[in-house]
Amino acid sequence: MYRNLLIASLLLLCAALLVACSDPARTARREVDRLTRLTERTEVEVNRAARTALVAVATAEGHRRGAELKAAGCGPACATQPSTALIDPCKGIVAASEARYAAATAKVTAGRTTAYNAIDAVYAALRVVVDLLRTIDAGAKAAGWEAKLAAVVAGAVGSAADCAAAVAAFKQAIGGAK
Amino acid sequence: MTPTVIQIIAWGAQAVKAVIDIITAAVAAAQAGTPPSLDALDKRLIDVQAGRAAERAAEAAAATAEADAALAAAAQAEFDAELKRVVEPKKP
Repeated sequence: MYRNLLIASLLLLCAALLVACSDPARTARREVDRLTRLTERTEVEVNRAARTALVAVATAEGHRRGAELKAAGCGPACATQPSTALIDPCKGIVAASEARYAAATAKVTAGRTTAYNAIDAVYAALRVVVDLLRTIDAGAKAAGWEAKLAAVVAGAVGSAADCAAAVAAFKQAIGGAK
Repeated sequence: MTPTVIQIIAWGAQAVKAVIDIITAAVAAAQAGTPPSLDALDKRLIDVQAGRAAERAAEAAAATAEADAALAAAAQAEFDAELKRVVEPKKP
């Protein structure tokens, strides 16, 4: 009898452990945690990539501006002055350089904004999961709550995948812009 | 071996198997990690959402300042290179 009791209690313990680990609400919380961390890391990556691209664009434009000014016989001071502080032909060279620089940086910042929007979409999807988990926690485990939870978690996972694709596209675009 | 001994060995094997199952499940649970509480998750998401506008603005300002400095430095470097060439002519 003791043997059967021992085996039964061990099996019950195993079952309890397995049920606890496969609880949909627990799994969803773990997924929200994972995606939040991933998205935070993604934003850091986006910022780093954008900053690197901006510096690369600026450095290339700076060398071009300096070379053009030098070729036109402008003094070294023109290199660090705004176009409005200069007289032609140096003014025209710097003004054109400023326009090119503004266009190039605008491209990078627009890509960064697109990536930010994708990141925001992930956070919004994660909030939907958390809100549903709160409702479930409040005791409203209505019929079909597991399916609903699985659907919103799938939505968050989909948003994270879209975000990863948007960030990859951004990195590729700024890689080409350098 | 008598039937009793065989039976005892079978019980032992069953017990060992049950213990192994428990350890395996516990290890799997430990590897997966305990997810944070719902309150902690909610707070983290709210904090992230509340702070990111300011963080992004600060990051954008810092990146722009760094790029502007790089632009000026690169433009200046063109002249510095020329100056260096004039001041330090090539040795015969």
